Amino acid sequence: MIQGLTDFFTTTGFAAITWQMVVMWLIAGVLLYLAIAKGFEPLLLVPIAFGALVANLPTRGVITTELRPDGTRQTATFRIEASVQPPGTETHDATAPTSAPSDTPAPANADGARQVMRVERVEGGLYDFISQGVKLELFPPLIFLGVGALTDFGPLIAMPRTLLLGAAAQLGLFITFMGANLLGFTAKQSASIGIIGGADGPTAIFLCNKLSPELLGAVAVAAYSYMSLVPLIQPPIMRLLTTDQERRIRMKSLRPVSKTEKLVFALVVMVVCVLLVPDASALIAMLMLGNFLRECGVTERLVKSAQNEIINVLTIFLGTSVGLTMQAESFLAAGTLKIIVLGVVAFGFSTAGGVIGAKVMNWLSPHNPVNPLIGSAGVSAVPMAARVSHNEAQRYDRNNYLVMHAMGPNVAGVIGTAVAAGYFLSQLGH
Amino acid sequence: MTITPFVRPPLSTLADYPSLSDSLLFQLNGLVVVFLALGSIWGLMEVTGLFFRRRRSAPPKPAIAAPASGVSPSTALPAVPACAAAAAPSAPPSADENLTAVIAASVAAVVGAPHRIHAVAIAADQLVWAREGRREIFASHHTR
Repeated sequence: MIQGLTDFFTTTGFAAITWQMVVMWLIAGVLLYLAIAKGFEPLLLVPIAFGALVANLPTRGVITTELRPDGTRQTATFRIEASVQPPGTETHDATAPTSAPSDTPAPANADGARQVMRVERVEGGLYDFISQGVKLELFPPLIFLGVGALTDFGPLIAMPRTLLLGAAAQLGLFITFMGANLLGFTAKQSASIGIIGGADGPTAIFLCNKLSPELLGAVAVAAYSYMSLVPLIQPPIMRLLTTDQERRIRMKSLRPVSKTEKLVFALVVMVVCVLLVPDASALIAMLMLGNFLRECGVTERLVKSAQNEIINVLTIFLGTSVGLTMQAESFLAAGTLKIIVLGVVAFGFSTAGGVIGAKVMNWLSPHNPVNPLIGSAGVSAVPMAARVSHNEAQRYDRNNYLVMHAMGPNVAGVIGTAVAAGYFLSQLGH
Repeated sequence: MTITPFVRPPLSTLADYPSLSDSLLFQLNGLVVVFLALGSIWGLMEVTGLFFRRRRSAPPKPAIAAPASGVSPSTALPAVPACAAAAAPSAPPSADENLTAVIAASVAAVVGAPHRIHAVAIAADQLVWAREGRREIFASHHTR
């Protein structure tokens, strides 16, 4: 009987627990605490932390991990068992899964004869399949569809010069690229780390998955953690780079923007960005599709779906998929600590770039100044960065309402980060 | 549609560990691309904005006949009973008459007791209303 119980114990998960797993439980606990008790980006940190916890439990049927020859672990792999069918014995059962769709030619052997493969069995855990949404770059663009449907580009259209602040706030991406490279990361890894400075989670995941998927967990956690820490990170930099007089600048009221202008804007942004950086097409096209649906006024049901069901479901899947990449063996490495540090550097430089960009703009156009505090909103943490600009301005002038002005560079930052990601992909992704 | 570049990007062979000059050039090019993209959109939106602003500032076509009473919100009005809208003639009301009815209804809803509206005029300091609107909006949100 004791032998039987001992044998049973070996089949339980207790035997597979390691100290690294316990450390990861603590990290997941801290992330859950920050999300639930402190309200730091709970919509994303909760799924990520939960996924991290699941990744560090001896689960079965959730996700498969394979050890690569280079020592790193590859998650979300599933096995397909297929058999080559002799010529003339192909089934014509429409329900039978085959490895190739009927409208594509079947693979040929060395003699050039057609081969037909029949999938016998697909084996994998739940998240082996769901995580394909990240691996195949489906979730980030689809989340951008929802982001586009939720975003009002009106303030940006009313004051289009704030687009330049969204561009200036990408400074941190490129500076961090060099810093990461000097710290020993490869060019592709450096680009994935630098994109944290854009404060745009879906774009960071999109780029990192293409250039250096081994860093996905650390980059995603750093990006979302710093996005939630925007109210703590940005104000000291904003105060350091501005004078008391500059912080009190009141800006002219924004002009009203017509529906047609908003529709033209969506088309213009998509065409310009896709022509300039085709690698960012998926992100930009979906962002502008969502926005076009919102502004055209005749697709109310689609907009509601994009704003609610689609983005919510994908957020759960994306968050947990990213969390499931945080397995102790790959996450508890010196590189992760470096990424966390570099992430805050990227954020700081991006904030500084936006503020300095606004000051340069005032220097060039002194008769119609912008409050430099809105420059920090050029990092694309929407709408938190705009709120930070507003709150900071109100500390010095209670009647200065900057939030709508700050929304201009804020949404420009979303476009700017997507363009920067497209540049990285075009240069490093091939 | 897949795109095959005509010319291979010059920095596509950026080494895993590029030299400082290569790295700086790479960053500079990246910033230029971002500024070029957003700057182009800025220029195009300024042009389209100019078009839309001009169209908005053009005098509207006289599609609606002027109100018979000549009522204007900026001028003093004769006494308007709260039930003015209900007592309107069968002819379609003008924009000013609609406005008067809305104001009358609003006053009736707020004041409640029997009342008379003697005049309707635009507030001299319009910023007060804008400020009050903003105060109400921000008071209804919790900003961190």
